[in-house]
Amino acid sequence: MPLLELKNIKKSFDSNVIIKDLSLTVEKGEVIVILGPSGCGKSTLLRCINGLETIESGEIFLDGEVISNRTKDMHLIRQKIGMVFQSYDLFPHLSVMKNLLLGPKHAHEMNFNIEQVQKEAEMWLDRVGLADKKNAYPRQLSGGQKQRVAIVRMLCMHPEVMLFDEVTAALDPEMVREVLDVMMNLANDKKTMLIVTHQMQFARAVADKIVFMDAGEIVEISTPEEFWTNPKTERAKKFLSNFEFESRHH
Amino acid sequence: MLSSDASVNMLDAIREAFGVLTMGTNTLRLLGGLWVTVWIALVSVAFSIVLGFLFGMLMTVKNRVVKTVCRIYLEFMRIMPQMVLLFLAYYGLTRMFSISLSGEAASILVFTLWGTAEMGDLVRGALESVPNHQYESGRAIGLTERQIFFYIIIPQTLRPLLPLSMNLITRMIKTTSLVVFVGVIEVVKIGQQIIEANRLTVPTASIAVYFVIFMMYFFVCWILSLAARAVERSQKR
Repeated sequence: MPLLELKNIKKSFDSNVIIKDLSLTVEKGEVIVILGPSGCGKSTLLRCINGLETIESGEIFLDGEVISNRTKDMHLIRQKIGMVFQSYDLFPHLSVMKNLLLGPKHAHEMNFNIEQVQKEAEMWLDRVGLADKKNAYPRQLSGGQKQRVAIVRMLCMHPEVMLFDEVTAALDPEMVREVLDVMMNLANDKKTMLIVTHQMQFARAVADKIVFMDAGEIVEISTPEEFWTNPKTERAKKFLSNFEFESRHH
Repeated sequence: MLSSDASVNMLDAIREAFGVLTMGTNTLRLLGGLWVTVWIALVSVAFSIVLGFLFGMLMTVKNRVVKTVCRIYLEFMRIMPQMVLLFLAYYGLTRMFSISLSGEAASILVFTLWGTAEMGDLVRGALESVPNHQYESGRAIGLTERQIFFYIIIPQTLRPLLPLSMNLITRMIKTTSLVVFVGVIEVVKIGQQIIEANRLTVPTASIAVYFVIFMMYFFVCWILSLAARAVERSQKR
């Protein structure tokens, strides 16, 4: 049984169809990178999985259980699906450590041992190079540091699936690397990840599977090797050509 | 230039004027009056903060009818002079519904209704200034809407609210001088009584009495702003 399964999901805003009849399965430990032009519905897709958007039809399963369009206990589902956003949205009134512990402390039905989570949080901060920042406030951190903390905050909830929505898009170029390195490490740890990104080299290196989307549907699914060397569709070829430049100096 | 004679006379006059304050229990009476002022203000402020938070939350509700009703209430409270409201509460209620409130009760009622409206608008502004992705990242770590509100949103409204509500509170304290019109004996009224009682013997008493009243208002508001600054600093850490 796949860990996460999307069956024929549809989503539109008013008359604007964002996702049309999309199906996808994600196995445990798989790293899937979703690529596609702006406005193709990649971000909306992640938001639907996490229940931040409702879907019009279709179903989403996590561990075989329907999780789409729940209203009452969506917070229990979200405890199992972590998400990091483009904007580095730490809680500005809490220190780094309190940011990390807020979720585990108040999670219903999970019964975290807070002391243990705290140890874990320290371990993670150490691994992402922020051991000395646990008492700092978000405003004292750079964008890249905040985004690493946001990733650790998600990890402290022990999510089964992690969603990354263009997490480096708002960062200064020199800070992108430190965040991508953290994600690369998580991929090496065999975490299940769905990543939306425009960092093509990173995508190629981290992904088990590339899902190429355009205009609200999946155009092709392939391995990174296949996708870059021999894309199956014209649309994918066209998309990839956007990232290539011909030298002026022949 | 004043001749040295004239300046001696003036000093004497001032000394005499302040002498009024040492007569009998005058200073104690003024302090008692100040207490009435501060008591009415603090009770109204306490109610206004609690009710203002609820009112502010109500104002952010999406329902259009609720929004309109809130808006009308807020504008009514802002447009009506506080004195008119006081008269409405003190005389109007008695005439129309035979509800007879004491001067203090009518004052607290009016200042609470007014303070709730103003505080509510401040709370609304603070709530709306919290960016939407704060709610979303709360959801993303599995918090319920209620937990998000209490642990993430409300704490973030406190910092911008603090200086604004301090401003409102000092305005409320100063406006309590109106309660004299519904028969409450507060600090300004007692000052006037002292001036009247000494009109013939010490005609200059008003200078000293009003100076002391000025200092009293100043100290009350100053202590508040010191407290606010201390809280603000402790939040900043």
